[in-house]
Amino acid sequence: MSEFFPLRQSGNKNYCALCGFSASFAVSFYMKIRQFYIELTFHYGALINAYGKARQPDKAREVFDDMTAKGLKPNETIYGALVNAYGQAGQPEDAEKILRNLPEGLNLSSQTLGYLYNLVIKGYGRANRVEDVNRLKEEMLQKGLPIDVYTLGATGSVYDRMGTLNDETRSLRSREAEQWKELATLFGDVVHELNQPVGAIGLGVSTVKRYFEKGDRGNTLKFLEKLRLQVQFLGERMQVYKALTERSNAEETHRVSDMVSGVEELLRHYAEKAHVRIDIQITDDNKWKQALYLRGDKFLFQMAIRGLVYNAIQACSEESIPLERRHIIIRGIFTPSRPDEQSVAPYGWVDIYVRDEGPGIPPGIRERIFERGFSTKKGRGLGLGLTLAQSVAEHYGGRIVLMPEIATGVEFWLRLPAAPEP
Amino acid sequence: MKVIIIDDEASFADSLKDLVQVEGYEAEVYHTLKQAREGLEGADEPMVVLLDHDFRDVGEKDQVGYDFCGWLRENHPFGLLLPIIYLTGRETTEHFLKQQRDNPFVHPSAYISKDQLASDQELLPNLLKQYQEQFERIRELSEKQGVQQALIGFRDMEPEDSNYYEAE
Repeated sequence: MSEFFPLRQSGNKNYCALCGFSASFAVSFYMKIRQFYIELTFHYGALINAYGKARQPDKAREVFDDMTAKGLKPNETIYGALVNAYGQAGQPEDAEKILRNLPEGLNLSSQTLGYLYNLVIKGYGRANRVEDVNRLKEEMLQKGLPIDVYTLGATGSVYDRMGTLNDETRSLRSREAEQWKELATLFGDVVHELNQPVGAIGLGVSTVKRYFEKGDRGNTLKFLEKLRLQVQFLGERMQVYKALTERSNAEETHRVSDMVSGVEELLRHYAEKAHVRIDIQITDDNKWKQALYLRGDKFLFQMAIRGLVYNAIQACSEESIPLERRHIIIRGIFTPSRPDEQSVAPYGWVDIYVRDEGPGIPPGIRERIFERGFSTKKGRGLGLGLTLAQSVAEHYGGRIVLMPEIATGVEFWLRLPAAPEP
Repeated sequence: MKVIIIDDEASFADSLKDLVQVEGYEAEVYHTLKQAREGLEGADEPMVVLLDHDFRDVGEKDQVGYDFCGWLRENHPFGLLLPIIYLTGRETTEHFLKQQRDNPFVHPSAYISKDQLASDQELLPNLLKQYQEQFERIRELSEKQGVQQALIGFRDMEPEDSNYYEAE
């Protein structure tokens, strides 16, 4: 027997060649079957996708049912194709039903689940269902699913098509940029902030004077050094404001991420004091390979962004807002312009979204928030921040929109014409 | 007499503490209202409290300056006579008087802005001196009259008794 199936020696283990042959045959057979199933699944997926593109979701469903009847397990791509089929055919409710009834065993990553959500959002977007688009976007935020450029692109498109004019959304009237005098009033808050280090320096001078009068040389020198450090700190703060107020040439191009960082630095003190976290997500690395740039007066752009972020900090600072909700997200994305927008935004749009998780804006007040002098801050706000942001947006041919149907907090969308990378 | 400084602006509070100390008073600094409540629980000595009016502490719903002021007056034996100074530049005379009338327990002894404190070098030393003299007078009164009310009788006083306070 051993001459036909000679025993091989390998280290300390002996095994039969026939057994080795059988095993390799079994592995090869398994691999072929597996490959067959993978290819079959792929072909089913392609078929569902094709029916989806042909806007025949019922046919796509038939193929899907046939596939499952044969014992094949649809993967996330197949589910995506089916969801998309219903979405493209103008049946987003059916697309959502599939999303809601995904089998438990799929074990989807948050990225994949986000992808499926985006397909449903896209479907609702096609059907101009603004409320549903926002509802799902909110749900994504609640579940911690990644909101990416595709989600925002889908929501942006639907607002575009809807003209952003319904009861809940305020597209804003055209208006000249506010006068400089009014811009300057916003600096009342800057003065308030500088009051702290200036106050500390004033007290420090009194302390040094007292020690000097007492003839206490050691403490006089000690507190003089402390005073020097306080003056240095004040100088550093002044640099931040100086950078903000430097008027730039109207033809200069500015990187959005730099401007947003500048605003964050300007407001960091307020944010830290109120325990508010600020997340900045500027997607310079997008599928259009368009880093975000704006052309014009940097001061005006930063004042517009500042107005939105400052309001968000104020909203999060409300006494009733717990620590975990003291959070602001500033998102910046690129959106290509439509053919009819080429004259205003030949290089596309820069969309900046400022989102907070504060108490939100009551329905009765939503209509009034862009009015000059209107403030919900009980005497503390000047009521000019949003009006100025609106003026700046419209000055450059953009706009500002209060996003409707936000479950928690408020989101403003600032749209400005993009500039090419210098 | 001790001076209590409650302000979340660390650099300002620190400078204020330096000045108070060079004037010869003991100073204690708290950066959160929670810390202040813990530190001042059961305090009964004469003290002046300098409280940042715009103070907002996280975690406890009632931890705003006014509530803290009320809590302190209700718990400290000096009650309404405890000098509590709000550091703010935002209040008006009208509001000051209204608050004095409506709710004396959360009404401060004075409103002072931080820039006033910084620019007027004599303001804080004079205020502290004045309050020290006031404490002295209270002590003398209590010794002479032997009446508890002269020293600490304000603890059980209702806010409606503001006529008494105004007469003072």
